[in-house]
Amino acid sequence: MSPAGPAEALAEALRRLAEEQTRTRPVSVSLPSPLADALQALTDAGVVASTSAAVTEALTHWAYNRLLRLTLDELYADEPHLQPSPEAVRAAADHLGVRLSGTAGEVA
Amino acid sequence: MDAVLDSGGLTAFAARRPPAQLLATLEVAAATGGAVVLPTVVIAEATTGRPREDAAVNHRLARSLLDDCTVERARVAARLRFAVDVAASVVDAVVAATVTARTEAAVVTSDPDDLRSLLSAAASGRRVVEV
Repeated sequence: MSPAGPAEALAEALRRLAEEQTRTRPVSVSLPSPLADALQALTDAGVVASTSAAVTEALTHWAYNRLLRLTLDELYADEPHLQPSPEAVRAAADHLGVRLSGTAGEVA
Repeated sequence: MDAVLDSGGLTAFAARRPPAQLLATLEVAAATGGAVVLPTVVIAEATTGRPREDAAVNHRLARSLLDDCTVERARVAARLRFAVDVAASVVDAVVAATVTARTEAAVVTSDPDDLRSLLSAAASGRRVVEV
């Protein structure tokens, strides 16, 4: 991993994705059959351009979710007192009308 | 749930000590598979073009999923802007249209009144977080 840390390395990769004409390369992954069938149906119906486009969109959002987690952890490493209490997170979830599953309100 | 930032939200995110309400909201976003989303038009409002002054904001920009304004999005923003009585800014209207376009999202802002009106016009039920 980059000496700059995982968050910076991920941010740099995502910056390149957003700003540069990136080349694609084929990768082989295995998906659960129902999910593969659903993607094929959506592609056939024209809802998504291709399986590759759908996977790229989903993975991009996933990567930004992980980047948010890493960014918050970086912030707390520098300023531990900024980390919200589980009660504050649950109150925010209530305000937002979001249900947190399990121990999601118990931030690390 | 995605956290969509307007310029006030982005400025708060870029602060050395971001406000507690923002951090709690971002924890909810992180825990629910969401991301920080920034409508690209906000960059025009939140930056100066001077690298030294923009450094902190640019750092957070690089941690945010940028969402471009398409023609369809601009049409929605125009409809929302002219549906409300207040003289909402174009940027606020695009932010509201961005929030409504996402499956699950809330907006983080330092100036909630216009965004509340715009989101109300969209009948989206999306929440506003004031920082």
